Amino acid sequence: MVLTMLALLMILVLAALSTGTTHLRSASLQSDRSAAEWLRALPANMVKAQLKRATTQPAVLWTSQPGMIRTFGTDVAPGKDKPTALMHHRLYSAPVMNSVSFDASSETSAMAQWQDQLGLFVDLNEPMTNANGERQYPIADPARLGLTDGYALRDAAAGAVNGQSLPLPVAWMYLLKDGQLVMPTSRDSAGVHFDPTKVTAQNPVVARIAFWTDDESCKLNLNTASEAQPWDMPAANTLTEQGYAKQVPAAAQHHADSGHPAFTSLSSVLKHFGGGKSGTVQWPVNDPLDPLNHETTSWWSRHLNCYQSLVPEGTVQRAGEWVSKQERHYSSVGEFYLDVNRNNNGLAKGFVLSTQDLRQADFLLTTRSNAPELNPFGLPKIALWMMPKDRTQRTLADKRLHALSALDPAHEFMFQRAALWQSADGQGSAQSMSADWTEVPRNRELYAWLQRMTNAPIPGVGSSFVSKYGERSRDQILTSMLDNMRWSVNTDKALPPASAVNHHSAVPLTLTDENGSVKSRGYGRFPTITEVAVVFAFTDVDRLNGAPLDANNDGICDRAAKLRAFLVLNPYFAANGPAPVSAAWSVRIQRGVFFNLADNVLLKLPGGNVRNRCTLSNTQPLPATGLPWGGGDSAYACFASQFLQPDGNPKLIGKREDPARDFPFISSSDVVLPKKYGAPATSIRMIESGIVIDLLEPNAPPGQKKPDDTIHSVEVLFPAQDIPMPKLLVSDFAKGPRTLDDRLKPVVVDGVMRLPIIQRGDIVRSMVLNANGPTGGDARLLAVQRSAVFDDGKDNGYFTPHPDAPPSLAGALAPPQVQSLRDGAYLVSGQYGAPELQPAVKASGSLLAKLQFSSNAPLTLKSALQRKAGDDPGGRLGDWESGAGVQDDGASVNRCAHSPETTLSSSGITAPNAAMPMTSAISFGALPSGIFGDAKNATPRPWQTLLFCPNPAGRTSSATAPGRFDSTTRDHFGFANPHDHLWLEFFWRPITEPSALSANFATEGKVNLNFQILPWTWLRRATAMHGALQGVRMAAIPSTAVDMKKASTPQNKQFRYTVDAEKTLAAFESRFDAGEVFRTASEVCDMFLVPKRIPGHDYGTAPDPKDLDAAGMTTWWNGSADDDADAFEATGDNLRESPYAQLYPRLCTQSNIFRVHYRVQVLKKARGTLPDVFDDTRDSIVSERRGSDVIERRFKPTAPAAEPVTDAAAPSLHTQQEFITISRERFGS
Amino acid sequence: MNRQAFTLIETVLAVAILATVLVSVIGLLPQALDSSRQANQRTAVSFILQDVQTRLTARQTMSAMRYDMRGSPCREHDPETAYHVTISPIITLPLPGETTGSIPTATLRVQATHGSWAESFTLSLAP
Repeated sequence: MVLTMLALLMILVLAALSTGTTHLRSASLQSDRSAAEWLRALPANMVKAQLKRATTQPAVLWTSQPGMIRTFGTDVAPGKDKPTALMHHRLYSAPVMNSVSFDASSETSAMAQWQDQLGLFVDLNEPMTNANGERQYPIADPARLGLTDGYALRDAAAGAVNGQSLPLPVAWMYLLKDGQLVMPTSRDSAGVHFDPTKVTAQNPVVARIAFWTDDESCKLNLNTASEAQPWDMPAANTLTEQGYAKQVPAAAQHHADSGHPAFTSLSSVLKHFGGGKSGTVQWPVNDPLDPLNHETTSWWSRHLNCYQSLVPEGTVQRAGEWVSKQERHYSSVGEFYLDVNRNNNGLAKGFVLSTQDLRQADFLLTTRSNAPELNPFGLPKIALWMMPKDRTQRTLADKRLHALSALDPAHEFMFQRAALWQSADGQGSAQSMSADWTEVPRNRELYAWLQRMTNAPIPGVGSSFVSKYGERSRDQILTSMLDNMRWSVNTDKALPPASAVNHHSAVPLTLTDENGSVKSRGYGRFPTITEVAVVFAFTDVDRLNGAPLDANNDGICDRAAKLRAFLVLNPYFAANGPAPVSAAWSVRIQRGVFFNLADNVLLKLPGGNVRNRCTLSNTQPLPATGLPWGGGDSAYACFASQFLQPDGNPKLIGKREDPARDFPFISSSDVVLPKKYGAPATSIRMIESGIVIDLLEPNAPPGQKKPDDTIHSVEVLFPAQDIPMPKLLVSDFAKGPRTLDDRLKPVVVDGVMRLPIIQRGDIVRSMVLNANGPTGGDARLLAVQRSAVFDDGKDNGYFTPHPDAPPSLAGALAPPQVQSLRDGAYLVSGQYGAPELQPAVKASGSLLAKLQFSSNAPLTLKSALQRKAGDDPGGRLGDWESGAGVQDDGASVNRCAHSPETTLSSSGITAPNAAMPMTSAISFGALPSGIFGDAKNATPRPWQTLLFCPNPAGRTSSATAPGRFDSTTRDHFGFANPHDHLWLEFFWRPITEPSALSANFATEGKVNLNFQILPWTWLRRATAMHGALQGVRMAAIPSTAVDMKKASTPQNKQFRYTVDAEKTLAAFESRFDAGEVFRTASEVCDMFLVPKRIPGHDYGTAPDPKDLDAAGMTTWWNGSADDDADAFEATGDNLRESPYAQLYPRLCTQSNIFRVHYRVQVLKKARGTLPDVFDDTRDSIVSERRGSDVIERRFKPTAPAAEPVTDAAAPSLHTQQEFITISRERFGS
Repeated sequence: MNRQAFTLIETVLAVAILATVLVSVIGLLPQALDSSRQANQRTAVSFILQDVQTRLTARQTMSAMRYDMRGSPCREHDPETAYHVTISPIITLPLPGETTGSIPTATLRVQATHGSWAESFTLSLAP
């Protein structure tokens, strides 16, 4: 009994003991796991500490990349051209987390033998095998290496072994009991050793951590990217360009909007899914051969639609309308496996999407990527949009953009319009030279703020724009930008509508000082005058008994007896291109109003306040062919409105009472020639005669001239010259004296409506813009002047006699009709003059001396691009713009219109999408930057525009070196520090459609240029850049095709290229290997994009770039520096910059989303071991946790809304960020 | 003489054996109870640390907390209070190789209300 009791008692006690021990073990295990659980926050906290330290400093520029943040200040060391990094902040566990210098190769070599250094390094990418026997990698799956675009090994992975071909080692950091982090000081066979003064028995090692931080902006975003439908402004008449013109993207087709994140292509990754291969629906092949049909039934269409249906905000067609799907965003890459109906996401689209695909793509895809939209000073960028100042007039689009571009409701970072167009009596501020300045305080504030920022050295660059350009040129550039936005963005309600006579026109914004002197000025959509012609129209001949005298019966009258003279102006719109413009303007003639011939033969024009009001609307239906004669998108629009009334009827010649009805600028009556003049093969001397031509607002009140009523004035001095006497046909005068009444009546010639203003027998002398004058033939430099009137009567050289006139302006046998008048209503040469005398080819000259342009695409001005030797040694070519469609090339200010608005020809105008914002400030790329020279030399620099590409026509330096403008190499002034592309960093385009991808001055879905992975430089992951480059199309027009590019019928030729991403990005990697990164996204404009032909297309004799890399690009583009016509010189500046405009808005160099991959272990020292040594073989790892935390960097909700525009002391917005862990994922069990 | 009775020696031996066994078995009882107490304590401390970390991460200001034996927070003067937690002012510890601190770290001292058990812990916080 006793024994039984004893046995029971013992059982009970032992059971209690066992239970307690088991409980204790269980609790210990749980405790250790809990320790690992709270320890896992430490890597993320360390990264947050690093991010906070690196990215929240004032006046410092920072860049992010996988594994590192770099910071840059403004101090430039001697011998350097920009600041070196202030600090390298590692985002991975390393012995030294922050250092001034950084050598990636030594970092890499330190971990080459990582697997032999147990306790010092650990592989963060160690795989595990799941229940299905599949290997899963926590970071990067080597199975995709070489099989996905841009994802490959550059070199053998350090420490790769059998079973682990892609180790990603980093250093262990050890945690002491008191919270300190320490690194081992050495390692030997006994384990890793620590500083014994820090690591003691009382403060032992309790855990260790290792981590590495990925930059999510280096991945393709499943929620914002889709698949690009390449589109660009048509720039020639080929099948592809015609396809662009006919397939202008609808507003909801964001995948065709190159500035939208949806233009970034997922196919770089997804095309490899489901065993994809070329030819399957998910694998993009090159552009379709027949672009005209690619939107409807083609394979290409199915391919695009496949991707659009995969992504949450893809564009689909519903009830004939393009709309966004607007589905819920994916919260993780794994979610992509199923669509909203819980079906396999790829299945219905023709391919199989597996979970293994998604696991393997986890390193390449993300669902959250976000980049700051702050300028290099850490302050808000200015939105490329203009909205009315009056809040009640703002549209929904305005309000959305306002919400995204304001720190507080009262202070948006966006320019405003003083007033919208209301009616003929309420023309809005676009028709005022000053209202958008004087009546909008916010515009003045933003302008002053931009001045302040451009006065200061730019962080990361070290120099300022004012040090480059000087204050006057800098202000001129700023004013040009503001002016440009007035007539190119959100113009729907701001500019006069199609029903108005001044459709889509704007007068130049003009900033004056307190004395009324012009400080700076824009271009508006308003004409300047590039040619002034006087037509000597002979009205009668000597007669005998009423019949013309013809003594020798050769059919030629013996002598001209009477004549009249009238004036023809050639308006020129620097802001040409779509949308068509029909500016309304009035002309007034001042000062000398005589054409004074010898022997006091005076051909007097009406001066005073007599005006010619030119208000023929582009939409006015005209008789005959119905050409839109009142305006258009040509540079020479509105020519006919000098001669036609608003209703299209001819004006009344010689009348001067009604400016809208009459054509007054003709000598008042027939003037009789003295008897000694008038015989053929003789001449009469024309005395020097000058006139001032004022262009006024059409309804400017009559009365005496007021100092401020002129929008634009030019003075033209006709020099003394011989006027040859004509050979007048007897037949033309047989019926009696000729009148001029029929000259303004349109006639149809060969199906084209013409104005016979110059006829057989006329003598014409014209003055044209002087290619050797201050403008260098660049009409933009004239258009920007409010007054080009002579100072103190001294000829300013803006105009010169037409180059077809005899050199000495003398001689009786000189050509009778010397002119090159152009009417933008039709694009054929020889538009005016007697048919047998019409200029045939090169009616207006050539932009490039050696290039013979097509007869139906005469260029705007005489050859003038070679700068004057004293100005720019080397005679480099300057900047000109390619015309849209078949429009002529030349000196334009808005030819970088990359919004989906275009025209193929003047008769096939596509209505612009006026609500479309500029995709980036690259739209400013046609703005002249040398109106007032630069900071050191105030001499104007014609044919110099803002530079947003590495390959201007004037570049001669090697493509392997940066473009330069210094004492040794003078490529283009835009290359001088700071490079012009840094202007881009002060502006942005908030994305509001289909959902607000921009918020808090940041945008989702941008792709980081800095894709180098540190410290694992052997691994390349450029996949996102491949996606960004996928839809970019480059245009390169060879000089040999210059005659073809504006052909009258579509040519089966190709001028477009895709971007060879591998070769292009190889140059990026060379930059990384040299220890440099992209400091701003605009630096992509310094990088050559290597073109690649689209198979199946005919490129003619153009050199094939297939064997070239980036180093060969200067030569490929520009050929020999001594030859202006041996390569692609026929490519305008806007086409050269276009690929960057398609790319830049989607790029970034800073990220707000980081993923911290970590591995943490809770350690326990074995009894009897030294406290300052940890031996992996003897001491124990009691628990481990692997996984990843995603950190978001965002504005603190409580951040003070300091107003940096008016408060110079307002801090950088980078200082007002907080760091939040937004998701956690655990790897393994 | 009754031969079926235990002799004194037998009785003494039996009692001695019984006593020895009882003592040794009963001597295990506190150990079992201690193991159980420690297990409870560890579990409680885990919960306490988790709770404190959550509160500190949420940037709650606090210097002292009370918890019951299960690790659940208690009100002041709650008779169930089993642990007092005192939190030292948050300091920033440097990263390796750095001299200036950047990682906010809280040091907690968890002390049993009854008894002398106490232990310190460090928790890293988001900066």
